Amino acid sequence: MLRQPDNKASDEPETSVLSLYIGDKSKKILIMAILAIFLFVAILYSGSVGSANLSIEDVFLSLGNSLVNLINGVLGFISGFLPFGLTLGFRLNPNLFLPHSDIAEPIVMNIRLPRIVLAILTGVALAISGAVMQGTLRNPLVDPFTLGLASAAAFGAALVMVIGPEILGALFLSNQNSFIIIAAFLFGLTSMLVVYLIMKVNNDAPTLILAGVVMSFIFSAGLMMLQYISNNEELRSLMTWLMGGMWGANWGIVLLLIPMVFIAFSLLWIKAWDLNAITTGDEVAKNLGVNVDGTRIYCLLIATFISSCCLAFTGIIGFIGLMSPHICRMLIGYDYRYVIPGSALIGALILLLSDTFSRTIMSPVDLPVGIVMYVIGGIFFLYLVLKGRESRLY
Amino acid sequence: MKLILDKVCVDYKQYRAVDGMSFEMNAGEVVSIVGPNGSGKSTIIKSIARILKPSSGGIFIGNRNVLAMSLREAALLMSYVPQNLPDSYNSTVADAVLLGRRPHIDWNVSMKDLEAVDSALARMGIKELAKKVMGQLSGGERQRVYIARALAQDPGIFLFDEPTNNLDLKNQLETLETVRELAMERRSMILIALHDLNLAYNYSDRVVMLNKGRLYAFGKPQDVLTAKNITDVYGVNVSIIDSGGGKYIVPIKNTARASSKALA
Repeated sequence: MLRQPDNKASDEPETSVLSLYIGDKSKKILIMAILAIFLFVAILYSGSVGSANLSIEDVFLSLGNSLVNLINGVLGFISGFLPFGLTLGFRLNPNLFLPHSDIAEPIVMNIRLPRIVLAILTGVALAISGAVMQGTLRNPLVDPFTLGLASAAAFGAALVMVIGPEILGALFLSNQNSFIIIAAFLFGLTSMLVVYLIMKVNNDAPTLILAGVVMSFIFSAGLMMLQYISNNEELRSLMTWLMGGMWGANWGIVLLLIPMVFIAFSLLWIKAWDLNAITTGDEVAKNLGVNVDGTRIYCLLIATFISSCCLAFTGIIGFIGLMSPHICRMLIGYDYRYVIPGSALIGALILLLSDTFSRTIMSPVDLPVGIVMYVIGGIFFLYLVLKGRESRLY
Repeated sequence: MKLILDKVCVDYKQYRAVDGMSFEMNAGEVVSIVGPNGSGKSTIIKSIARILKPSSGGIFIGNRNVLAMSLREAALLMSYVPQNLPDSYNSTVADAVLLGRRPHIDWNVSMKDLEAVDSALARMGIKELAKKVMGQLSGGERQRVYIARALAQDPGIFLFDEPTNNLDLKNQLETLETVRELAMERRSMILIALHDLNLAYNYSDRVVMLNKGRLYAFGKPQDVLTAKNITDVYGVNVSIIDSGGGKYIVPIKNTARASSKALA
């Protein structure tokens, strides 16, 4: 007997959205776990290379040992506050993670780790900013650099460094980091305001990018001007802002930035569904219950703030915010619930590896990571412009 | 349940796009809005969908004031199917339809949401497209995805903004067949902005005819889409022909130019 073709078709298992979705979700989480492991390995590697080469094991032990000391310190602190003469006797074994080499821990903890953490924070901040900018402006080519925000923030920071001490005197010197952040944010905000107004008038992708490039030129010119008129002592630090580098890293800055990046990340992440809706168009998003203009301003403000804060200390770092979300979407798709943490991991990984590469490639010369990023990012940008659509990058 | 528009006015910067619009429609009814370009068809659809804000007047569903609701509450009551324009959006079809569940979702996607997506895809016959990317779809497929998204949203009211634009003949008819079926199956209320008078004539229960932002006529297709009304509003002489059980509006050649000369 002949088999009926119709029956055959109905015997095949149907693709259920349910199984598709659940399989997809585990895949996304697995990819993020792998990225997190890569990042951890990159931290160990970055901690081991430099003018004094340490073994990766020593870096690991130094990190562990500092953590043990920190925990014991906290336990001791709490113990001191317990009432009725109670004491908290429990302590972690201080020899649990003792490094083999005496110099390992001071080098890792005092010199290399702040720089590593600054690179990670900056990578995270720029990547999540780029992701939400691309989403809210519905333009695959925007990021804090291509919109001119990076140059504006770096100019703001440099300006206050040059004129701050003369105008504000001791007040400036005692609150230097806060002033730098405020100035960077104000200038970053100005540049974003201009871009936002241009978008309101004429929202097409090329116009926005050209406006960003022009803003970039203007503020870079301002930076060069500052460099030209400033004296020798300031010159070196101004060079940092112009080229972008992690030299400025220290625990003071890093401990200031950690909570800010964490809060900004959370505030953007909770808007993931609204961002998903906005990418399909304003009208549909409004009908799906999203306050489109409000979300757009909210996300752009937070992105501007957090990238300005990081760029204030690192100078112009280009293209991280452009590359990370695109790479992330290639790996784990378009759902912003995953794009935001995924981009953050990728941004951190790229910037940390680039910074490690640039400080070791011509050792002992410490190449600004900004230069490396210009080259990698520039090629990526060109690729996006020429091939991005075919390769489904956007 | 009723959808009630009460003297709705919508202003753009320089001009009034919709002026004192009032009409009512019932559940299970398909109502088309017709009128020349710029007469305010899409504007009405968008103001009901809370995309545009009327400058005065009221919109009510039953006794609830649509304009006073939160966007999310409104999203649970009505879904908007946009004009079918090329979509460069690169998400998969399944994700695009899942977005219809946005008003129901806080963070995690529940089984119920996935089932809604699944049945919406099945209803529109596009289950095999689930993993495809939006940018790769044909116009007809894209239209089905948009309707599936609206279905997943699970509202009582569907608002279509010129759903047959950019579709070939077969897909135009299929879209409107689907629309009629939705009204039957779900007792949904369906309001469609339509360009094509013949589709409006043959697929709607009632027709709203607009002229320059004002309501010109409202009623059964055979009462509204008369040769006289069409000549008055569109400035074209037409004859209405019976064929195969349907009525068809056929323009009489060269009358458009003749009547505009007559006006001048």
